[in-house]
Amino acid sequence: MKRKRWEVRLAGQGGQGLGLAGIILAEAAVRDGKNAVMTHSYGAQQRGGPSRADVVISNERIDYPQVLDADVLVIFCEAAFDRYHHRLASDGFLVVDSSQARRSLVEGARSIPLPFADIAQQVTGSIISANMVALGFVAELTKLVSRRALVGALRKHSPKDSLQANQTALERGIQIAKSIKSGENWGH
Amino acid sequence: MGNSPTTARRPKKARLMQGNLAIAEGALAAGLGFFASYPITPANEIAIFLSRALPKRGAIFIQMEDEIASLAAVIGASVGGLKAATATSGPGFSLMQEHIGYAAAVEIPCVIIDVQRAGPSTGRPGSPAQGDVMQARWGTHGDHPIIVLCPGSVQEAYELTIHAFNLSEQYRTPVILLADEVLARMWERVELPLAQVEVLGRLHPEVPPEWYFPYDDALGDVPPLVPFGQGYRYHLTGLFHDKSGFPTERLDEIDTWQQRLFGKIEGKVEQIARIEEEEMEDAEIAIIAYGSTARSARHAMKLAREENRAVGLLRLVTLWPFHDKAIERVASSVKRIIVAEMNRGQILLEVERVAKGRADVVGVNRADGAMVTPAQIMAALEVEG
Amino acid sequence: MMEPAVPEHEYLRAQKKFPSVWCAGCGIGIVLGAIIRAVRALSLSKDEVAMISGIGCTGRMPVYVDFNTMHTTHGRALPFATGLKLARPDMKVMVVMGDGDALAIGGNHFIHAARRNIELTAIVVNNSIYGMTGGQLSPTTPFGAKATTAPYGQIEQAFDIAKIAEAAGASFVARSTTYHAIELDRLIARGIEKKGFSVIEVLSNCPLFYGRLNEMGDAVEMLKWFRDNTTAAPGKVASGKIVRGVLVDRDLTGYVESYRKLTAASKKRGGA
Repeated sequence: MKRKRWEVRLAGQGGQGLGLAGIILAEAAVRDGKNAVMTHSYGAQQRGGPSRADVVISNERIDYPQVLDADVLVIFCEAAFDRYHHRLASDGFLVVDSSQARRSLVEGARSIPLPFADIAQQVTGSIISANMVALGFVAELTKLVSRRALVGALRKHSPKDSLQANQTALERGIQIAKSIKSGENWGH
Repeated sequence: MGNSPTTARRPKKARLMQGNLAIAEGALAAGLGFFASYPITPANEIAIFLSRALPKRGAIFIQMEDEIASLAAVIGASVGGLKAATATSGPGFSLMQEHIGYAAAVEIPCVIIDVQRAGPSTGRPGSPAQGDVMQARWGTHGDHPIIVLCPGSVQEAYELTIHAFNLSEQYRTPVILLADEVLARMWERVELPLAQVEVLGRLHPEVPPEWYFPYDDALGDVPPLVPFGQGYRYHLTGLFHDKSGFPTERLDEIDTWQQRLFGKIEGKVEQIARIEEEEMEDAEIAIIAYGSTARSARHAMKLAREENRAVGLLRLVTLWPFHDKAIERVASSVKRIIVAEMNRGQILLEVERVAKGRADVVGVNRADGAMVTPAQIMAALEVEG
Repeated sequence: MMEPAVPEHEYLRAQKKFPSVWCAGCGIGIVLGAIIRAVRALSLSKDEVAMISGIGCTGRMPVYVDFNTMHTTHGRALPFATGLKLARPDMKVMVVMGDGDALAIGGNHFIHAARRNIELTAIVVNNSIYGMTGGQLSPTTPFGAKATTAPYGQIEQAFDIAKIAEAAGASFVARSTTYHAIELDRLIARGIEKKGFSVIEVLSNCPLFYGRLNEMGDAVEMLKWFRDNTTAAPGKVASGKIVRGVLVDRDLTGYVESYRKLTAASKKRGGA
């Protein structure tokens, strides 16, 4: 990581597990010896309202804890696209769950539409692990955290009854990123 | 409850922790024996965690019928000898005000955690604010001393919670830990346990029961409070009282009591109040901030320094008693002071009061439930004073 | 040690605190006497007894008695006592309240203390009026009765304290009056001994306000009214008289006991 500060925003609705994905990403960064902060903003309803998880990772002390210009913006519903697409950094990645949001184009941005929910359904039998497919994908795409730390963080924070499915989903996300990266040169 | 546990439970280790959990862990490290609260966003994680942790330690968790009852139970438990705390947010904090005054006047140690959210009224329950600063100072009726601490990171939330318990015992007073939604619900890297965190227990008198009076200034500025049931029978009341604790209408006795009550805290501001200064040596502009807003302020200060601008930061760790001397020093050494806070200018008023025109004082304020951004503070740097 | 001429005096902070704040003819002193006699009959030490009160005429009771005493805020004596009892389960914690204190501003705490069935003894001195503030209507002012804020007569129904306590879950509920002082001693003693939340309602005389506004005569006349309009024989309910005596006595687990069990179980389970 050459940059001072990496910002990842995961945006969707309550119940999609974006807060959990944010915690796991931040935990993995701490396991790799970095600083990390995760803030999670959500509405009063436990399910269905707008949900936004911001993860900031740095080798230095992190002051402002929220995303200013997202290096990675993960979109899990159409409303989240409308709300946050303008917060993407000029060289940022826009990662959209194309099974849950139609639009995925921001001028100048590197846009990656992938059907995370459909993929989760295929590999785990449920769309509930779509968050983990996206997390694995983002982690491998950006190399923000090590795979080892990510898996360790998942084991620590995942509910026990969904650990197996979450691991499968996470691995699938990592694989997809690897195959895309081998095809196109997006390395940092 | 036995002796207070030490904090040296495991070797120092980095981990990711939520602010609310750091507060709860800090309370446990301080020797929390009793916790009572009522559900409210965004403080819920504290009670959920403690409802599991306290019974295992033989300590007490109880969910009361409202916040009024919660603080009442906390005060009752403290009179019974336990270190006791409650946690809430704006609407619940409003309901607790009468009992904050009771604890201040009757001099009962206790810790009140207020995770500030946007208000007034129901406001934005899941969104941050710092609108309870003046309520924490003046929310109860009548003049009274109070100590209010304001953490700026998850790590500090842990440490300041322990410090809050220490101060409450040391000065026999309610102490308010004024967190905010961002800080309380954010997850951040912490290193636990902190090195050598001191834990203070309750003071005990050296005199036998027949010579003991709970408000006797012969026993010092802070006469020890003996828990009920230990043979030192006495009376507690929220009425103005004499040294024995009995109600009094005598002005000489009231004067003696009030001199000691205010003196024990307002006469010791230098010992009690903590501040943190950074890049202030050559600063021409000082940013004053506290809580999570101090993080926006430091972000802005660093950006300004990268542009070779003489900007410094003064972070208030203790909000009340207000550290007049520190602000006076700053006001005498800089041209402009920017006070950033998530309210319409509550600490701004205090800074203006102390600065007395020696420096321009400018507020960066918002009360809409969103954080003050570094860009907002940067913009205030641009304005020529 | 010499036995005091009046046994109750042994428990009073007699030198300092008298004369009391209570008006001539007030019933609260009779209740205080009954509480002391109950404590004495149970051979409790002063150190193990705590008396907690709220605000109002009855709220002033603890200052006179040589126990561990605490005069708290209006309506909140029960939650203060809840904290103390949990911190010191070995102590006998009594809570003395007036009808406004216990049932209006403190009504929510009253039902929740009963629901929790916490091991406290609540003594509600019910004179159907706010005395200290000047004779205002209270939640136990009977329909049609007068108060300084009900000059045309009360148009709300009165609470039945005992029924509320029973419905909310108290282990023990009893009622007596200031006329029946000896009976009151026994009921309070039973309340203190009972496991769980116990409530003793005492119908009391406030001749200065309730008696005067409702033309009931002086204190003696009011005491006679209690004698003539109450009965300890439930069979006489039909006569319209107020029933005295033990109204509820049931074995339910108290909160402190339940919490003790929970603590033991959670320790056994261990973990973080």
